[in-house]
Amino acid sequence: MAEARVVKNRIDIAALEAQVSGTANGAVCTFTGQVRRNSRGREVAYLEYNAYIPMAEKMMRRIAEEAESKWGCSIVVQHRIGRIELGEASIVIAVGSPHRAQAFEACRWCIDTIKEDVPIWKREVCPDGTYWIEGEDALKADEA
Amino acid sequence: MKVNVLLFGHYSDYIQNQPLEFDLPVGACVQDLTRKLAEREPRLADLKRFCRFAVNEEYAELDTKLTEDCTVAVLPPMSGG
Repeated sequence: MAEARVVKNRIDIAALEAQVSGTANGAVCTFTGQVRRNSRGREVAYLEYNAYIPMAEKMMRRIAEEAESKWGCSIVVQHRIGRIELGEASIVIAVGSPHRAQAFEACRWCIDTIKEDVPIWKREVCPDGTYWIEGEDALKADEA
Repeated sequence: MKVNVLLFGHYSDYIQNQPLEFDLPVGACVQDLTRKLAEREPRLADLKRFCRFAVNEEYAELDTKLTEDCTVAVLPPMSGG
């Protein structure tokens, strides 16, 4: 049964991997998305993530369950919100599967689909201000 | 009927920290609500072009009917991950 949560604290990557490391599985594939210093030419100090939490958890769980049944694997996902520093993880997807091909494919499909359909947004806090990132657009935030 | 609205992304900067509620006639749909939002705040006039909508945490279409005390979320292009 897939598990998907929005969390406010650091993600414990090893704990998520352990959840899908049953001895029936010969492969564990983990994707970690982490905060990058540069974004399209802007220098980023840190990120702030916001979510529509109940819908985000529901959508992530649904995506993970769909991948579990399509590729026959076990999946846990955590997305962190709030302030996240450079190099820290914003999302971790751990996939356990009897064989590696299914684990890689399921993991890749999950992160691509989560980026499209899960209601979570980031703001880049930069030296010259804060930007909402909405798809391809970066919009200067109102900091009244 | 009472309809609750949640704004996300940069739209949340326009209506800060106030609960958004509208009174709409029975039978109103998401599109009717977008008109009300544009009347309340001119910077919300273009939502249909840029955003998706959810009703009670499920994706909805512009012609999805609203129900008493439902919650409509305005969802600009996402940037999670």
